[in-house]
Amino acid sequence: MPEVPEEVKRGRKLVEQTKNGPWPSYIKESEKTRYPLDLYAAALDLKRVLWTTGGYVSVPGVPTGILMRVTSRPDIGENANVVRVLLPSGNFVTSDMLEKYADFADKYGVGMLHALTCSHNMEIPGIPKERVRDFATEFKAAGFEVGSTGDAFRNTTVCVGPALCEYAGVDTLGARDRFYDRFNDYAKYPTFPHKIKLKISGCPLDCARASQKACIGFIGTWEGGPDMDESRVRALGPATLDAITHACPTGAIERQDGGVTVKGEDCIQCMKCVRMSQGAFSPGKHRQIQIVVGGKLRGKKGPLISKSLCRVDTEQEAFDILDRIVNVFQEHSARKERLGDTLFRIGMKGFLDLMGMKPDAAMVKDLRTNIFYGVTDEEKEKQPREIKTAVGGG
Amino acid sequence: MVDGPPRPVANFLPPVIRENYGQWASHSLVAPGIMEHVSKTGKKVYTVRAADPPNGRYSTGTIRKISALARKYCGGYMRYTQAVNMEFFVDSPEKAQELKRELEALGFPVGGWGGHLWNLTSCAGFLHCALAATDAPSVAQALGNAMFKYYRDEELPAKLSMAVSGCPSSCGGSFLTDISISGIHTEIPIVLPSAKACDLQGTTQSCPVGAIQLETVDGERHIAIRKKLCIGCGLCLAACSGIVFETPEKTDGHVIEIGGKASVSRTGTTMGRVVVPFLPNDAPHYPVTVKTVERIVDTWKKDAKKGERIADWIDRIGWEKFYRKTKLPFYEQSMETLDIRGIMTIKDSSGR
Repeated sequence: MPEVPEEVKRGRKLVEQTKNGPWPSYIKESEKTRYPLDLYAAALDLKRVLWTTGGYVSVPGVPTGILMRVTSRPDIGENANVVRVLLPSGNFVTSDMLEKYADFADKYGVGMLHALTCSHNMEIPGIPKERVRDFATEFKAAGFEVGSTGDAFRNTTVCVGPALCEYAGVDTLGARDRFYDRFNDYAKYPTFPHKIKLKISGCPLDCARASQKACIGFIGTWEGGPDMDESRVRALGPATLDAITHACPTGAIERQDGGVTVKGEDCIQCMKCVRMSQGAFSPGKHRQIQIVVGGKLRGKKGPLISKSLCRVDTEQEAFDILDRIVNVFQEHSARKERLGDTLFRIGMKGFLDLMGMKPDAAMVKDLRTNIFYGVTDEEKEKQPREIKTAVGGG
Repeated sequence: MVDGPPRPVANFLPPVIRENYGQWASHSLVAPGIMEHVSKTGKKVYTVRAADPPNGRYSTGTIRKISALARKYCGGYMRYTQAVNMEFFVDSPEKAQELKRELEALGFPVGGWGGHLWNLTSCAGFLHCALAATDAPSVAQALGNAMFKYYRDEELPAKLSMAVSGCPSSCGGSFLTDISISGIHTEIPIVLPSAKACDLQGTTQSCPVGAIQLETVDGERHIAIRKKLCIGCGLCLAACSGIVFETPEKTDGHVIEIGGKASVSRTGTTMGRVVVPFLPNDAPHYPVTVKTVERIVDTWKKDAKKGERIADWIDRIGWEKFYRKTKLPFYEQSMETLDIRGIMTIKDSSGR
């Protein structure tokens, strides 16, 4: 029996202390598995990570889906790879499915399931390198899929959408299915400069974090003012209606004897009235998809909020634009550069040139303050002419 | 054999949701963690939401117990949410209460909806990551235990989401939540001889500030790090296993950021701001971190108007009042920078 290292002994005491408390304990769960908890305990005591990345692994038939993890203390714990598993849209799972995943985790892994990562994959930890191929073959034969690692399209996450939410303007769950129908090769093969992500939110409340975490985001929205159920609006009572009128940031809603009027052209689709009215207001009839680009958390320039690109009417058009963005990303991003970093480097104007799109006031949050820019001869002639036409001056 | 994730999604939706897909009219919270959704057809569904352990780690035994509960109460269907809660769909409030009792007996409290603390998200930290500066799951565990009263019993002015990430890569989803903890490295990594085997192009390009250069010593090419440029982000560690931090036990720690949110409502989408620049990794209870978070939440709870999330509250009172009310000290690292190199100031002050 080899002696237990001191750091493991001390670490075990630390681990023991985390178990007391009302919040569900990951240690209690891990103890029921064959996960190398001693390695974690030692790391906690030494205050340093005891895993290193094992580089890329090439398993025939599994282009993406494996994360290599190599132990830096083989005397305490063994190497353990993680295999990522794709779930159905909206992370709706069935008991049968969960039990099958559990069987796979018992057979190939350490009897542990990482139920959901922050990008909504399931992970099966602890599959040895030499068994990954067998695992993947059997797993795929059972009707499941691994993926979402490496320089490919990562898992597309969506909000719950029309499955449970009355605000959804986009069929987010169906859109994710159709994304994989059309672009599965993008998700399967790591052929990009860096990872790229699509997230789809049903409404501007953006539960899927499409504007913050995704290179390309689709956000459901609408044209003009919100839809309004006249009788239910009146039933809300003057106090609530006053509050809604007051909350509207653009003053598009005005009180009018017992009810309200809505000026559609002033609406900015902020959802405030919709949220406050228990269904009396709802997203407008003319549904659109807002496409945003360049959001990310990780990467060269730090976290960036995405920029607005354009609005389209149908999912088909949105996917066509996505395809064009992906082509620009593939051709013009440097290696290991996220789309947001490319945008940072070449600027929105440079990106629009590559996309073959024209700048528009709807794309900017604010205008420039310095006046050091170039104006070409052609523009010097064209811009005053256009302004003259617009203002009707002589 | 399938390509891509299992689909179509209709195969995995509970019958009541499949029939009322896109037909929902309104929703309301009937009890902590239990939401009633009403369809235009008059059909009602009650969603029961339960927290998961930090980083969502389950033993297969527990997964089988959960799937048995889903089979008993919801015909074998369930889902995981954005914040990695478990959600179950039942057809009556009584069944929802019964399911709640069974879930809580299993150790998964029901709550985390509306004006409460929502489920904590956390990255893998020391459990399975090679880059972590802070062990995110144990921080999340300590915070969850300390703040548990807000999860179900005590009400807050608005939703409170918290996330813990082990490093600035922010896999746990910090920056986006009301209160987020992020691990940071505050030293410059060293290059081991084994770095020779690394992908030189990928390693140099992984650096956001161009601090990695190539040197030729005795006819051999080596990776070298320009100390003056390095910001300690740790991205090169992911590209090359020959680059490591020398004494992470002394220099790694975590920051507290507050005021991030995704929703466009009120002040709109914002990223979190650094309010406490450096706290040590004192596992397992992280007493200073927990107390600081408690101070922020208590002050917000006392001071905010109903419906104001932390970002909205600060938007109204301003940062100066925030520091005065919380009695937290203000440090130079919190100053706004236009340059990503701003995080270097910790190293500068320690003389590196």
